[in-house]
Amino acid sequence: MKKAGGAFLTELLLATVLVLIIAAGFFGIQHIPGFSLEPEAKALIQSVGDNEICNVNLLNLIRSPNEDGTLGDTLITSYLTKDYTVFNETTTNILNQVMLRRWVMNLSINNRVEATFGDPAGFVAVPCIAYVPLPQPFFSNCSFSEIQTGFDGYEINFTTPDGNVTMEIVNQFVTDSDKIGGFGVYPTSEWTTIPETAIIGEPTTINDTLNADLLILQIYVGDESEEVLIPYELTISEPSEDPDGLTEVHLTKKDLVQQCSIALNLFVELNNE
Amino acid sequence: MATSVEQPQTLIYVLGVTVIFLASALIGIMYLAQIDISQEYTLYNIQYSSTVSRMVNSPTCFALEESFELPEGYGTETQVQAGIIDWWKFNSGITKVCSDGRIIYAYLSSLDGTLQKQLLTGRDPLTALSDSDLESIDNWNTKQEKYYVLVYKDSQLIPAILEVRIKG
Repeated sequence: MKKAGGAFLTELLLATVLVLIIAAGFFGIQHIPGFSLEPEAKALIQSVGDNEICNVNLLNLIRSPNEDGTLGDTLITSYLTKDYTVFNETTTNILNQVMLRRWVMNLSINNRVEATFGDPAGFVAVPCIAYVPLPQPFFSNCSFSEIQTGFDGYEINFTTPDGNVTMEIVNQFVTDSDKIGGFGVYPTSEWTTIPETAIIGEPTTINDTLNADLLILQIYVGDESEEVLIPYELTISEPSEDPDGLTEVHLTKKDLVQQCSIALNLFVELNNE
Repeated sequence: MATSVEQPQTLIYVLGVTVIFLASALIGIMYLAQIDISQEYTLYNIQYSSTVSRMVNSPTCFALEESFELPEGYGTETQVQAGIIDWWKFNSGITKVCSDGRIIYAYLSSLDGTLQKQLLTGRDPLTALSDSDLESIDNWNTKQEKYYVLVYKDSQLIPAILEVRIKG
């Protein structure tokens, strides 16, 4: 009986200690710095405002006027010369004056980080993004846009980064009837059937083919065998009221913005106040 | 004979575990009951965000609205430059539509220090705020943020900081 009584007291003591430890843990955990459920809930709510601040600041940052034109232009220059000193100094100066919190900015192209500004010390942040388009001459695969003019029967050739496009404007005539859309004369154009393998697919959008001032073709340029097809838009329009019917043919590449721009990601420290 | 000793021990174990479980559950419920998300605080932040967003992005507040000519025969069109403050609008004060009945303090200062202007709802925008007004604003226990904006003045864009406080 003594043994049983001793065991009972031991178990009771153990159970009491365990309960006290759990109780102390529950009440003590909220006094650990940085641990509380309540601030997490607040942070989610506050991110709405934080994101607004991030977007406004970043948007105005890249269009801020400076010696090159805008800070966005300075960014392009920095990227082309791979010297981010001026951009970094200006950006840091502005954001340090404006931000009441810490910030980090990443510069990336096609999801590849090229440079980082600010203090990259870890903190919970709200991100936002802005794109600065690259100038076409420095990024050959992007932003192809070319305008050519041709009369009836002329062959028009485009040399794009993704392949050659050849088309022939045939059977063009103009009429001065039915004024639509502000133009006085309207060309009606036809084109030969798919002229080269560079153009794959039938025209998908044609506006007013019988009496038109604007014809739009959605085409794909590329090598069909390699299944690399890049979307382009071909626009045939009558640019003036000249009854001779000078036809303007405009070929534009439908770029992916992340491939043809510098992406700026700004991370602003979450406000936990 | 060994069972006469083990049976009380089993009972003690069961009782002990039950006590610990019940105590833990009770403490857990008490702790969870303490978690309280302040509804007032939530509304305040949404109010602040929506109000400042309207001030910066809406042409009914301070956002610049430009008009441009469309091709011949199509007339003119207007475009709002979100994030760019029209100095003329800011200089004219906070309208009732913009403030939506709230008491707002806005301080615009250019980075080069050439422009500085303070506004308070209900006060003449052409008159500087009094010391008592500023002292009163200092005592507002409200959210305070800075926004990097561009100010359109005399056909030029001037980098500036907009500071907004809304009386709770």
